[in-house]
Amino acid sequence: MSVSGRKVSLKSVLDEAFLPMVLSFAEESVRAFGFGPAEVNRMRLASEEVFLYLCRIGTVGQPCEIEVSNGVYYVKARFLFDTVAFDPYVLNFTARIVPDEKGLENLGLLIASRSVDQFYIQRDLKEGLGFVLLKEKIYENAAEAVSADAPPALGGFTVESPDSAMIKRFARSVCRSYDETFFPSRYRCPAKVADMAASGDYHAIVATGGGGAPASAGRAPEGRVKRVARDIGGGLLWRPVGKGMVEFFGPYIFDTLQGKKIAAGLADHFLGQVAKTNATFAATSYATPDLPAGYFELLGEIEYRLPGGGVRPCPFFYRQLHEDMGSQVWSHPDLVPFLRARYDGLVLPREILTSTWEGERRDAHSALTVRFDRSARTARLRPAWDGEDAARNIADHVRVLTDEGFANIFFEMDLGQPWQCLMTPALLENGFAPALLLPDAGDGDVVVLQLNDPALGKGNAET
Amino acid sequence: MSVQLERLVPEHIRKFETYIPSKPDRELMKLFGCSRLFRLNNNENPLGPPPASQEIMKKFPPSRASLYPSGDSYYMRMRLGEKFGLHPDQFLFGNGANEAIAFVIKAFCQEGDNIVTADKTFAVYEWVAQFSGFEARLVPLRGFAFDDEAMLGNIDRRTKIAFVCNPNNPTGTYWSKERLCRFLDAVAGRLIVVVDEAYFEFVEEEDYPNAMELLTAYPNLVVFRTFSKMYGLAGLRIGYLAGSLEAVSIIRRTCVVYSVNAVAQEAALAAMDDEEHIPRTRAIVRDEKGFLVEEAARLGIEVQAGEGCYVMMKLPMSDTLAYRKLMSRGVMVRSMTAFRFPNWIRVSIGTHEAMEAVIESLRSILGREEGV
Repeated sequence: MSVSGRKVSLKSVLDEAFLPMVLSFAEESVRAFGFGPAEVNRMRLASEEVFLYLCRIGTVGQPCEIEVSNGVYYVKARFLFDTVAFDPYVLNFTARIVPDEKGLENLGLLIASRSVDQFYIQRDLKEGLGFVLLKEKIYENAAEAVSADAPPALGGFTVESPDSAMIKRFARSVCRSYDETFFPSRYRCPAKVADMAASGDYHAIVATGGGGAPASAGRAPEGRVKRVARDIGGGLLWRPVGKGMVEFFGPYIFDTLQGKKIAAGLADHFLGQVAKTNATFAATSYATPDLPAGYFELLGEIEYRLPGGGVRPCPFFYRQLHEDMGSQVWSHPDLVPFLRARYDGLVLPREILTSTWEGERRDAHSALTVRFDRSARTARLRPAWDGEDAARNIADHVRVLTDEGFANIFFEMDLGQPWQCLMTPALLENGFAPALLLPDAGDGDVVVLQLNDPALGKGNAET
Repeated sequence: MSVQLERLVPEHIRKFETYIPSKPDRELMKLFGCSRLFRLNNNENPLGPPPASQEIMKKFPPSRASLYPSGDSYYMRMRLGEKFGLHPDQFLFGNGANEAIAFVIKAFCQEGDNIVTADKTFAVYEWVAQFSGFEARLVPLRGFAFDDEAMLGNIDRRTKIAFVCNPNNPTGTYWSKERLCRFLDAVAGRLIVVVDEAYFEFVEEEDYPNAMELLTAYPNLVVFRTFSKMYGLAGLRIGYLAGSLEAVSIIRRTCVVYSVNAVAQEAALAAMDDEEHIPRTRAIVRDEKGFLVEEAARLGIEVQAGEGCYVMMKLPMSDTLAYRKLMSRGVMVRSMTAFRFPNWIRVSIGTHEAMEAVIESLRSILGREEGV
């Protein structure tokens, strides 16, 4: 076993005889990282299902590395293994399903997914394949239960990176001022937001003023930092996603008297912070009405199906951080009208190269990876391999996910990977339709296809 | 064989953003669907090189391409020594002034050291420092200008170099001679002060300093000049630094010799003797900058126009979107998000035809008529 900072790992082999050791490692690691009994038990259960599944589909003695990492507000376990001995079919979430199977209780991966907040299959060129389990820390204090600051009137303001105490004050004000449409439900706990920033996964800025000088404005003679409470007039959160995207939340404005000024100040500061990183664009699906005009472009809307029925339109805004030099993308001819309309609307220089399956050799089995977000009843499919059974495989996934209560099912196709567009006919046949274009979100642009709800007709997806 | 190269990469390089230069004109025109392209993104001289330099290029014997050039730009250093009344060894040439930035940082910085400059200035000071593993302390501009007091406040025992872009690219602001000397006096020889005068020849203001004249008084002063801007030789890549004999002697230890090609050396030498080129360029820049500023004002666009052959404009839209829209009309500007100026663009001063194309395109993409 090796330990590296907030990460520990165990090298094992695929053999059920090692199950107790693997479970003990997973359990004790999660506990040692400071998580409570609930998180420990759920990670143990999910780890058991994943390891047993791997033992069933793999060769006895095949290496498998289990890595548990502490994300402060979540704990993550990865089961990394070599791909050599695997038929890609077994990587499908639905691999054990047969068409006439009624119950889903024996599906190990499904059970694993129910136990954690996120579960997905990673396919990484450097690290190989892996099943990833992520369990978020359970926080006791919901934001609604605690009081928030009164709405401020700052006068002058400065934009700064907040400390933990100020982040919690900021989060309380957000929960008081904005509903879940503008601030994800899973973030509605101040302590959790503070931990998200502490983990380094998220970044926050706040506009502060009033209440005297900034906390960092001076030092007491003995060298201690003067603590002066300052009002928070607004703030913004962001996190890097993948290799080129920054997802942001906000801006959240509490000082309505100078809301536009604060919003622009936050946007300027945020863009200044991310402009010289590896990120190529910033995007949000949680923009508030205070999003300053002229800073971001509307990419489109996705309609999320709500638990009680009905839909919530969710606009996506984005902004490139660098000059677009133009590129080539791959597409099936059936997607070209959608792409051409979006590219023209966004003035994005793209040369569309079409590709179809013309009878050449094709692997028998396709494989899809799934990311679950149970709180949002959302599942995101991504292709891992193309295969002749793509249509059936997609249908299997749709059936299982729908039975599991996932109302929002998306398929993300990377236009920088020519083989992925071969799946287009299978997707359209199964009720998916293109809904959103995310420029530069993968190796190339990414098209998000949404499964139409038969009860609602075509939804907002378009062809 | 599986090789995980990423494991070999230092942490500060892993975080580093790759700079991707623009594609050649033909490729861009194809992708953006435009039949013309005015390149107004790199502050190049619309007149091109002086005629004498052009003659050098036309007549350069192809057979000489097989021979190495002078490794230290010998004749150029002699000529500069005469021009500025300095010793030839007080000059050091690089493949563009960008290379000189790397020479200076490599010569004076070691692990734990830092450099001080502005947050919104020529990006290469910060860039080279960071990919070399040194901290770049970025001081916010004050009123579009370098903030001397704040820079001094950010200097500590590990600060080795302060970079001052004078006039500043992209804002066009400058420190007067009095302000520069005050700063140098306050630094009091504790660190190297680099004054980047890439746009020196464009400035006509009386209080604008010629830092070359301060080299004797301040042995820790290093001055950058280039042939890429006023002399129109950007494509040949030639620039230089000047400093005290002692400072340049140290920097020379990190200098890559033979990095300036023979055509560049001879063309630059010829350019220096052309007495008409600077006034002609200044005139076109003055006239076209005036036109651009006036027309932008008519469109209700906020403009920051100082010295140099460029102006900044603040648009009511994302600058990266404006870039794409302008490109589709055959106008290439610099979007300024990467300079930490979101929603601003920088436009290089070009020919009148190019400036008219800028205004016409802006009018079109902003949907504006005069006075809106």
